Amino acid sequence: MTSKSDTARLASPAFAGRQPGGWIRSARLQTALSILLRYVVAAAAIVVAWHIFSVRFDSPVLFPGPAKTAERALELIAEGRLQGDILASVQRIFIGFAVGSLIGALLGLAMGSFRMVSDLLSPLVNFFRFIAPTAWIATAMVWFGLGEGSKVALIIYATTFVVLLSAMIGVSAVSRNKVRAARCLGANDRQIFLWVTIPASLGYILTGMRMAMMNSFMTVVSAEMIAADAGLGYLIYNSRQWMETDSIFVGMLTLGVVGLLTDRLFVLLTRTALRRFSLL
Amino acid sequence: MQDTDSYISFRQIDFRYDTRLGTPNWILKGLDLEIRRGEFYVLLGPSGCGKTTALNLLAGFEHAHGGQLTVDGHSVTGPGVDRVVIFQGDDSLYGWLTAQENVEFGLKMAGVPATERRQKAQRQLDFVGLGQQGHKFPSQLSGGMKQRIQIARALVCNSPILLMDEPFAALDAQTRAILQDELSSIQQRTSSTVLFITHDIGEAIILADRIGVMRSGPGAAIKEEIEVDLPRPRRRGDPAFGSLYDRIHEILSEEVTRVLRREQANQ
Repeated sequence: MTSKSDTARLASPAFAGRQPGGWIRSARLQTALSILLRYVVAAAAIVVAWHIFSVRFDSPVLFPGPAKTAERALELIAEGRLQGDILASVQRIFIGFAVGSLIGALLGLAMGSFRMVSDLLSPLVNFFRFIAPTAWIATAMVWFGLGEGSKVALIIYATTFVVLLSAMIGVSAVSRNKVRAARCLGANDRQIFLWVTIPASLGYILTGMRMAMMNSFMTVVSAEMIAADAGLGYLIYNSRQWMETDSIFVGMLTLGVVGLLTDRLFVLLTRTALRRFSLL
Repeated sequence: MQDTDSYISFRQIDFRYDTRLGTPNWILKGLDLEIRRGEFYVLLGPSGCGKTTALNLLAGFEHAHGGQLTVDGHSVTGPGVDRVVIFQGDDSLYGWLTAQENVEFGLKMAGVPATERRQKAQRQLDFVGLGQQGHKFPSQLSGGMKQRIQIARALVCNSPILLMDEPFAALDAQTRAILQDELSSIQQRTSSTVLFITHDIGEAIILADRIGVMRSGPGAAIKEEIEVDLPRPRRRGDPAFGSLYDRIHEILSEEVTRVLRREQANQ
């Protein structure tokens, strides 16, 4: 409906020529294209700078340029290795992130809402959140084995605290009048938790999850460097042994690209599915 | 004995905040206030005099440190659906719910089935003039519309008492005047008992059956009560309105100057 009227407006003679790029007939498409254009410009700037640096450095082995890296990426794709590594890392992140977010959100909501829970858990939380996930890698291997278990456990750990803290802040940011109004309208404690506290803090939880996603990416790389037979961290660390700097670059670029896409996808999904709660 | 037509009764109510030094800061001291059933009672006073505290006590958000507070003979122990508050700010509305869903909130808490809920909420939205706006979210509505939603949300619960804490203070003058007239007619139709807090003398005269002017704290109480027997709907240009305004203004300015003198003496 809106797009139809926009089209009419843009097509009208009075409007023609006023808008730069007015030849595109839908305003929404125009916005999408201009955003895409900015993305392309940003990416191009990085590639150009990279190229200049690599030429100056003048050592294809130590500092490969974009062309050599792209070539290597194609080889890795042809061998099927890059896809396998992406899949391995993304799978670990997805499971760990989902479980960690759930635990973090529930604990954070409970700690924010109930004094008793908060008194019991905050010393533990404030203690453990300063022990970095990477510090646990050794023990995680011993306890959960060299397989998926240890990596997923580390990502759960990396995710939980960030989401927990933001959920707690979310609860404390619920305005007093929202709770008071609910009490006046006959809500009991359980109903207030369910219908006021949770929806009111959802925006904070989602923001926390977005930050936790970053932590998950960082953690998975470290864990895969220590013990794994697949994954982007494995690709990077394993390539070091053969001085394959180009493969290392491919791994790093892939991390950035997969991370960026995941973040965009997360924002897009929450904006559409949870539009009314969205603070992103 | 108790006044036969007294519905809400504050008797010798004391309320204090304990300061960090441990010395009590008495907000209310010996507050006596009787409100009749179906009465529109306006508490008027300078800011910081304890008006909102009195309302919060009646709402059940706070508890008095002395005295007796009853509604229809029963002591107030906590918040209840019989005394719904309409807040000044719009932060009491649920931003993730549509206007319609906000109005339905109380019914949902009471377990009313969805269809019935929708019908009742729609009726109240029509009643406050927002019949076509039910699908919108609070952020898409103006300040005046948001306050109407709060009113509809309270009315849908059939609450016999409405507690209004400067509900129109944040609105522009024109919207405020319109909502005052509307509230006055809503109250006439629903015959609810209203406790309305304001520092605006004109607003008090337009709305009130009776105005309680508060003495400023510490240890505030009612200084003087004024019956307003002007016919409704009231007009702001009425000469009787003007003379009443002057009279109340005089009482209030005594209080304000007293506070100012004391503050100057303390400096």
